[in-house]
Amino acid sequence: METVSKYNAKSARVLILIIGAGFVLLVGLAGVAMCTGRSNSLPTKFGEIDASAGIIYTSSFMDMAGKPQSLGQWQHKLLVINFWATWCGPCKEEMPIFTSLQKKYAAKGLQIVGIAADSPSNVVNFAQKIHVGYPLLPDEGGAIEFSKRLGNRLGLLPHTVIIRPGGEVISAHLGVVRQGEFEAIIIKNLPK
Amino acid sequence: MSLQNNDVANYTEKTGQIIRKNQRTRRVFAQLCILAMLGMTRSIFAAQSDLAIAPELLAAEEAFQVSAKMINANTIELHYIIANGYYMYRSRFKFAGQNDSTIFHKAIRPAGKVKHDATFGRVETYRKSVRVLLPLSHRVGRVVSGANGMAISSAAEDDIVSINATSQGCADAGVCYPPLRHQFILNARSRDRVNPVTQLAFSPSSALSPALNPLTPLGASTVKPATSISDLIRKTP
Repeated sequence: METVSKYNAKSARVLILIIGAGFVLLVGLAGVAMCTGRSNSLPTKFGEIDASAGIIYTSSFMDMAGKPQSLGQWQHKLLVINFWATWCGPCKEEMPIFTSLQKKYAAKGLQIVGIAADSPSNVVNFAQKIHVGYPLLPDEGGAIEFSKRLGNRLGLLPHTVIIRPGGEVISAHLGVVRQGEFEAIIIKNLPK
Repeated sequence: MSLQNNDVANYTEKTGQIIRKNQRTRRVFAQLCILAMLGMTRSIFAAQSDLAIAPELLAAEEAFQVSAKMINANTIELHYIIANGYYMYRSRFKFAGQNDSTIFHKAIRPAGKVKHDATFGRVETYRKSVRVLLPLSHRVGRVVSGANGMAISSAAEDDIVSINATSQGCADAGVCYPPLRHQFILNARSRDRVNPVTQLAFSPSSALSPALNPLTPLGASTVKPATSISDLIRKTP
């Protein structure tokens, strides 16, 4: 019995070795994949959101009234952050989609916010002309920097990030969202 | 002896089982590894094919190339070369000069292609290229007090004109670039075309949000390292 348990122990060691080797191999492959992915990546390569997604709930932005709004207040919501600017044509094109979806899914826990790479006065003027059904947070200097930290390397607009309740970034999109696809992701991840 | 033999037999049998078990385990692991590798390769290729479909976006300095020259002693010409599939907004050009002995006048921007914007009405855009003229005049008779109290002219210094040019453009793919700021240093006596000495994505340091203050604790939230999704750009008609 002793001999057998010794061999069991040995086989366990071998097993651990194999698991270890397998793991190392996988990590290595993942590393290679990431490296080759990076080196081949075009400026358009998008969605390389790093662990700095942790900055989301600890960040706050001024609203149009100049009151600080912490993104952390929406941590139990399905949070959609849309980076935009009044000087960005494509951004304004997609805003009605966000307004209608905010209205449709507000009761089910959807919260859209628009962080603008723009001056408060431009954003206030814009909101007086166009009805926007979700908070607009102007931050001329900080919006693009924040967007870059969420994986938008070139700082392009519009940039839309979807964050599950609890903070997991599940989608990042550059350019105008496709309503059907976007709504499908929303429905699938609504908390209620 | 017989006991020992039994032991040996037992041992051999057990060893055989262990070896067989080991081989099975190893096979399973090998298969798992291969599966994992295949999965990974597939996802890499999937991501790359997504990229191949998506329009390749240029870096801002490739999409919007700019140079400057003095076409005469009183005019700076800025020449923007705009890549195919990209455009710049006429109203988004801003210029500022830095030179005490130079007066900068209003920039002359050619008419652009008019588009109607729901919120801002007329929007003019440029494609392919645009030349913007910056007229300037030199203050004459400017003197600088020398260390010894004598008035000396600093002509060489006055010839140097430094300007900051801010511009902004978008791609037809449906994305806009953040404003760009270029700094040029020109010599009023030279007619050479010069490249910008610096190119900065516009980011006024004073306007950094509290969110980006380095003192903000990072990684203090519950966020997991995120899944990366290659969600790419829609080609706008």
